[in-house]
Amino acid sequence: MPREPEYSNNEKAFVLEAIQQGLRVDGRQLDEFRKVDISFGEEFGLTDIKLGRTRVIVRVSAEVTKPYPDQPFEGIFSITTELGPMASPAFEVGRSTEQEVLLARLIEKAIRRSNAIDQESLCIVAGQKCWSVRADVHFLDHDGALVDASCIAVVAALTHFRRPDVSVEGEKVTIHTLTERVPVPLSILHLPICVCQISKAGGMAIEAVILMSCATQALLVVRQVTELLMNKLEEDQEKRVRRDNLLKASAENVRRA
Amino acid sequence: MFADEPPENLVLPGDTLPIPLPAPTAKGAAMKVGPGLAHIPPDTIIPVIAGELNVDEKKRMIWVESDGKRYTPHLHDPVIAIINRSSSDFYHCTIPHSRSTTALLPHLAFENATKKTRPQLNPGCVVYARISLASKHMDPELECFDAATSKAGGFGELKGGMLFDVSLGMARRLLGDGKKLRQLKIRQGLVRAEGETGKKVKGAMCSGLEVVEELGQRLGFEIAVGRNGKVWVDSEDVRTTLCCGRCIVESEFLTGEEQRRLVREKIKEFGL
Repeated sequence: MPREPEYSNNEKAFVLEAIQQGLRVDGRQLDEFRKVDISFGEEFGLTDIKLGRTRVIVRVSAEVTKPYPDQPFEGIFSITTELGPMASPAFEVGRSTEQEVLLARLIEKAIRRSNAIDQESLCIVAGQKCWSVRADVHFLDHDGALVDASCIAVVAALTHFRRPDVSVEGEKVTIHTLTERVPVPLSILHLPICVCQISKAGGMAIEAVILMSCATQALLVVRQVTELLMNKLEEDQEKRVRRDNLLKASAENVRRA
Repeated sequence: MFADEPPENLVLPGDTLPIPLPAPTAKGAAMKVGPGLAHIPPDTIIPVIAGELNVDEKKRMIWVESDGKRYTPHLHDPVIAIINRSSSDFYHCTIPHSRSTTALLPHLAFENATKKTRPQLNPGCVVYARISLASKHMDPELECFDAATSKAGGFGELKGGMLFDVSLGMARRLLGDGKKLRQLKIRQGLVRAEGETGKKVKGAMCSGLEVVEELGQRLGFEIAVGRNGKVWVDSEDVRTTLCCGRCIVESEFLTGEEQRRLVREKIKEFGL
């Protein structure tokens, strides 16, 4: 069974010595974030993220289903992650490692449990019909920082995604195709970009001051990433408008303060 | 290697070959079918990987040049392996970037090794070894000496230094395949040799070794390249090693001239 490659003594010694001299093996500063590259696919909800050499593709899709009986007013939102052998030879198909479970839980915590997506807005007819939004995370290349990469990717894909518009007349539900009516974006309450999620399961104690300085640094990075994401989204939107010869149509209601 | 323009003979798995097979020079002369191609008897050859099809008419060889990240052991390939543990007769090693789990390195497969003088390698040590046995159904075996001359020939334990990851294509190029390929292309007239003026001619291929040549002129370092996509670099201090490693890793998609420029910039950046 292939395993995660172990690092040799030479590498361990070298990395430690380099860090003492303030050098990192990949040429970054000690506190520098990896280079982020975001691109969107032809369809809505397809995002490709490169974080250094790690590469993640997320596909968001939606279908109409019956809501869970205990949450009749809420839609369904699920994230599936699978670490396949494409990412690294250490991963196998169908055998989930501890790392994979931890990773899935972290992403789940960061996005689903932080209520990033307004699940009530996914409800069509209470107790009968709702949207089931699903984000499939595919890891194409594994070079560390999988949590960061997948979080950014899922958030980007969710903001990029548009679902078909729906109109309800009494009991009759009509789903309009993408050409018939302008598709609507998901209602996203906040963008949980997780750069430095603190997940500490045991280990050494950390001083509060260090923790605070880490958090401030993380905030800076998050701002940069969010800005990049917004710029890219806008760029993509413009490209679409030009390509499809659309007017800047919008299904949003005018909101008055 | 393809920095200038896409390769002419791009093939995909299952394609029919875009060029005719080299004509037999003599009756019964064998033709060598290299990696990336499968022979379907009696006389069909199809590519099984995507890449650039190369034909050497002179040596009657045909193969597909492609790039990848997973290494499959082949006989006589130099690789960089890491020792896992030692058993009574063998060191059990891992070959990074390869699919197989362990490779066996006999205790006696070193220069001048006897039961008493064999090198003692601890888990985590790095060795530069050659593949002495590669089979589909068995774990590969390694050796650190040339069985014919029983000399080390550069193989053995690599002490200190750092390992850097490159793609398999890059590793092959660093081992000199790029130069051979370029000579072949020049012979076929596909590309012209770079003129004596030093001006870059369109379509002229770089050998891919410019980065190492330039580094060698400016810095002192040791290097070992494994076909499994690992490059070991060592020098007197961490800064030099890191500079060399970064240059090699980043030069993958650059032309010869760009590689030289990269080296100059990096050396300045590291303050060497």
